[in-house]
Amino acid sequence: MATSSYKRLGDQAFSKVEHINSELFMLTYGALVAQVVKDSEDAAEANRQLDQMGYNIGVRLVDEFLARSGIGKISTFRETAEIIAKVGFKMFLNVIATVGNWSGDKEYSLLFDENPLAEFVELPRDDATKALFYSNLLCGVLRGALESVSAPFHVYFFYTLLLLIRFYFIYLFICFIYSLRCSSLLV
Amino acid sequence: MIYNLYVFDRAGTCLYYADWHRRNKSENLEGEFKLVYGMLFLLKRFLTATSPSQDGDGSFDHFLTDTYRLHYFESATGVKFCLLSHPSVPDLRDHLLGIYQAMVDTVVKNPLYKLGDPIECSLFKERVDQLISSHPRFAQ
Repeated sequence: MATSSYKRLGDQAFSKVEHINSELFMLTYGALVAQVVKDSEDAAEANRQLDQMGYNIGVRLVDEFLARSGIGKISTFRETAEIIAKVGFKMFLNVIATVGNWSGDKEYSLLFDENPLAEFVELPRDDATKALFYSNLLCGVLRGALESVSAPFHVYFFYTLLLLIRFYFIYLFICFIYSLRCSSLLV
Repeated sequence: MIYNLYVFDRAGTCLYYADWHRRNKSENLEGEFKLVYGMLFLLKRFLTATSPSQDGDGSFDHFLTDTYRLHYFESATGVKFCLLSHPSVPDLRDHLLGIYQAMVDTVVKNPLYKLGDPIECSLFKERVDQLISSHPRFAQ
């Protein structure tokens, strides 16, 4: 299926769901992250918590996504990438990602122009937040959603000037976890 | 005539069962759920194995017997919906999708519901009953 038809599907799906105020959503998410950081001992723990929360959301979100968008069984991994980028993110967060940086057929990146969760956010450069992945909930959501549909995935944040989410498709082996520092410009 | 509905999850647990016009009620429902799920599982494997083309994934739309037609829908997450109806009732796929949507709205989004548990939500039951009884061939 062509990318343009996925875009159209994404727009259709977006028009079918209930909308809420995006600023309210961002502020609520910010409050959530602030609380998680306060409750955690260090940034790694906070990242883990956010990922776990995202995972719990993802396993339920995927059913809503499939029911509303009407997407059936997907045959290839490449197609799932396109569907997540164009339909999934459009439907729930009203942003579109680009799929890129394919490494073999098992690993790819999602690139965003703007972070839908972090428009008003600035992270202080102290120990608690230096290694924090602010939007790690998104990784958890993707991980949970994909796990419900097929084999387990490894999803993590990889920063450059744009926002990237990198996927690893794992069969039976565990991939290394890369921890990356994030500067106060990138959240 | 629409006889009954089974909803199974990925692991084979029967999440929901409802019947409307079933004449011979089964005494051992638990055994029956295992039987139906086992049949669906084996049928899908059989269909993949005997498919003449490479990309068969064992999905089917419905099957027809002398006394009923079983309409089937499986979501990508492995949730299976089966509706049994009189053989003359044509496609019920829209209703199966409607039941899936009802499940998403009332069950999956319920934070107190643990995934994999049998569905006990009265709102879901109402929506399913409403959806099925609105079919023109519901009672005859």
